[in-house]
Amino acid sequence: MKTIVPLLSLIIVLLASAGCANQDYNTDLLDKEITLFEREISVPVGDVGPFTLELAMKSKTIGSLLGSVLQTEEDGTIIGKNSEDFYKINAYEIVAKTKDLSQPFTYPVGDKELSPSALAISLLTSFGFRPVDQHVSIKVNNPLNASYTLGDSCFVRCMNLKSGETTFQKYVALSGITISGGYGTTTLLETDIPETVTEVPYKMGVKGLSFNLPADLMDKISSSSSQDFIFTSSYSGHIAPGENLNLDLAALGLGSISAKAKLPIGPYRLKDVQVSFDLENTFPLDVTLSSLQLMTGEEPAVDTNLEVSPGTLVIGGGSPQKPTVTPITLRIKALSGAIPDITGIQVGLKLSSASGYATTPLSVKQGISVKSASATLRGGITFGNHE
Amino acid sequence: MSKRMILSLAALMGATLCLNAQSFQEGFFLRHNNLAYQYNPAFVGDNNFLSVGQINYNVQNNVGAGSFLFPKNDVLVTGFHSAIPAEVFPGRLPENCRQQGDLNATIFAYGFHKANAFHTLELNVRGMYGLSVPRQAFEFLKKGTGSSAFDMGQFRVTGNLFAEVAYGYGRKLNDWLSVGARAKLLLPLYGLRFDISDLAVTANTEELSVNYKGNLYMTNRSGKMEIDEAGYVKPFKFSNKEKLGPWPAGAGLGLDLGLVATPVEGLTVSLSMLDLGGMYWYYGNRAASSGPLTFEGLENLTYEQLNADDLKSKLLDIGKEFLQVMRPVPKIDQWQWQALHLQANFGVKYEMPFYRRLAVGATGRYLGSQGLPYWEGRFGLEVNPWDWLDLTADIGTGSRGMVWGVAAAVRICRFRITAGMQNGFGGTIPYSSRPIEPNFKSLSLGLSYDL
Repeated sequence: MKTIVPLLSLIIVLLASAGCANQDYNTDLLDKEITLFEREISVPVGDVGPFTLELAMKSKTIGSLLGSVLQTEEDGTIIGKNSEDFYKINAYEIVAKTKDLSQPFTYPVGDKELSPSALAISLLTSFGFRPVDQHVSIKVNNPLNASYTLGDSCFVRCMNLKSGETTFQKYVALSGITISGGYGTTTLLETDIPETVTEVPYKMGVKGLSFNLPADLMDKISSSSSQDFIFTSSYSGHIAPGENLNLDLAALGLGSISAKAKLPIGPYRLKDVQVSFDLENTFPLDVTLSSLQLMTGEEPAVDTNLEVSPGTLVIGGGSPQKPTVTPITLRIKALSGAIPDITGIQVGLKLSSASGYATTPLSVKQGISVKSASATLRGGITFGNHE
Repeated sequence: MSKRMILSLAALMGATLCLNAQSFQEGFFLRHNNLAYQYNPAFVGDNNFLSVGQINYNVQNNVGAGSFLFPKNDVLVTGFHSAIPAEVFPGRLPENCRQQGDLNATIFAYGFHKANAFHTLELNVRGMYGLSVPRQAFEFLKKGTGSSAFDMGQFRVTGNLFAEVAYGYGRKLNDWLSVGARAKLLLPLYGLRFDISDLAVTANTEELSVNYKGNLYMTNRSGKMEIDEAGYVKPFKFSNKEKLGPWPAGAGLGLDLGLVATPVEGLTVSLSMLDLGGMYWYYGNRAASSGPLTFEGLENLTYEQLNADDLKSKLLDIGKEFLQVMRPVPKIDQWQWQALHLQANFGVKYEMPFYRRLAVGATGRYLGSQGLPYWEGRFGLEVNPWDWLDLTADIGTGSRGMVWGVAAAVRICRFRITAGMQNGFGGTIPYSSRPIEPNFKSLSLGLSYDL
């Protein structure tokens, strides 16, 4: 019976060993990577925006392009303004060229005109935009302490460059205008260009300009301010999408446009992301995204492993008073593996005038807003062990 | 008791605690166990005794570390690793992942014979704790959710400590039958309960909302929870200015009943029911908070704010708003009933006629822990090679799988030392005592002196 004791001891040792540590569960070798919501999780994201032209003009690229040539009014409307001294002659030069200062004289200077080609609007009209609310004026100052008169006429003319047809013109006879003394400025021509005219002024200026100056010109010349006779033309106009606006980057041979983006989602190893939102558009433009692709890599390149659907989107145009709302669902799916860091986006873009908004001026307050955005993730979000 | 002995006992206790053992079923087999009446009040001791410092601790859980950690190739991964399918984790978790523990520390016990009966007097400090996390919480994190509300069930954390004053009476009715009972006066000391119920998460494209009901119960011996100017509770700040509630924080009664039969020589049959009853707790500190917490998306987010720093700041603001909404409000003090964990024991042992120092037997137990009932059956072997040494070991199965236990009783002069431990199979995490499989563990340690 004494063998019972060692036998029992052996049993106890064997049983006790059942509670021993299992090296397979050594937590020193724990892989801390976890993936949550493997099947699907949806979360509301909310509202973002608006993304307005004002913001775009603050960006380095677009801002430097537009901000240098376009300005905004207090209500945000984009306006093209141009004011240019198109002719200038010094009073002393007239004195020098005049033989007899004791007699009234006429100083024929001939035609003077300019093409207001510096206007950004004229550039934009070539893409199908059109000017609206156009206003022009021609003014002259008086460097004399006496009145004088001018001869002949001044004018403004708009022309369709393709057909050569004059679509608007206005002449003002200068003979009936007296330039009052006192160093002020006198308006020679001022007019609104009718809404039916879709061109910016092609030519502005004076035709057959002549001065009828006082005999004692030398005594009348200002000694403190400018001694020049200066003719100034001014232009202002808003820009709107014309009826014929159809700006297709592909058709223009520009293909798709690319923009750098920074979306560092790679570490989370997402596989399938669906983003739904209502896009509220107050731009008077219909925007068509004819292609949409994502770019990855340090030198951004289109990633063919990422499927973006739908590839085509049409966003209707609207106005701040009557925005259009386009429901959009975008799905980004990795065909294999996970979605890496997104470093760029490439889109095929087409802009056209929204119906009924052909003469609605563009404003920096117009833009797009993302409303009621939500995201649905399928395949999980991974944390830990990020490289 | 010498200082050396006390230190040795303390060291033994500490060492055994690290091994995580179970309640003292093995005490049934030990022949020199003065504290057998705790297993069955019908056990009538051989002699009068005095006992101090006995500890009985058991803990059980219906999930082990292996429910959450999985060996994969050469590493260990969590259940949330993509390599672990949802059918495995959390698919194999029980409806509620629970852990419960019971502690019984006998400060003082005195047993004596008088008037043909065996009497015991005891002062115990007992504690119970519980933790419950629903499987649905892991389901939600692992799989996500559909568009409808995702019901997560109930989270619960409880803990309490109470004193027990017990009087036991055991008597031999005849040569083969003994009966016994113990009456216990229960005096609640400290109690805490925090639960979140009706927890439902809705995560769809329109909203992310969390609905819940949160309740906090605390006995108020440490003072009343402070209330801020807006009328919300500061759960972890207490003021002693307000009148405290009754001490102890409630009262209750418990009862143990037992029967021991020896129908034939060498055969012992034991039946006992322990911890019938419960106690009323006076929760002088109560607070509640309820949902819903709703997030319908970020508001007023500009394109300039679409960067990590601004988004993080926005989300922190939302978190702060949520915390504001979650602030608990005070509730009226409440009395609550809490039942003890009822225990039913059955035991049978037979001393071998050819060698009376060897016995074999079986035990069975049912533990009616709230929300986590436990049962088991064991076969045991006991040997008492010398009068001063008694050893026992058992093996069996139960609602947490295969179990085993060992115990020993040593008699040195008039001192009797008993120690026992129970555990389950399946191993533990290295450098820790965390079981890999669902487990029932217990430890028992006792010291008594024969008068």
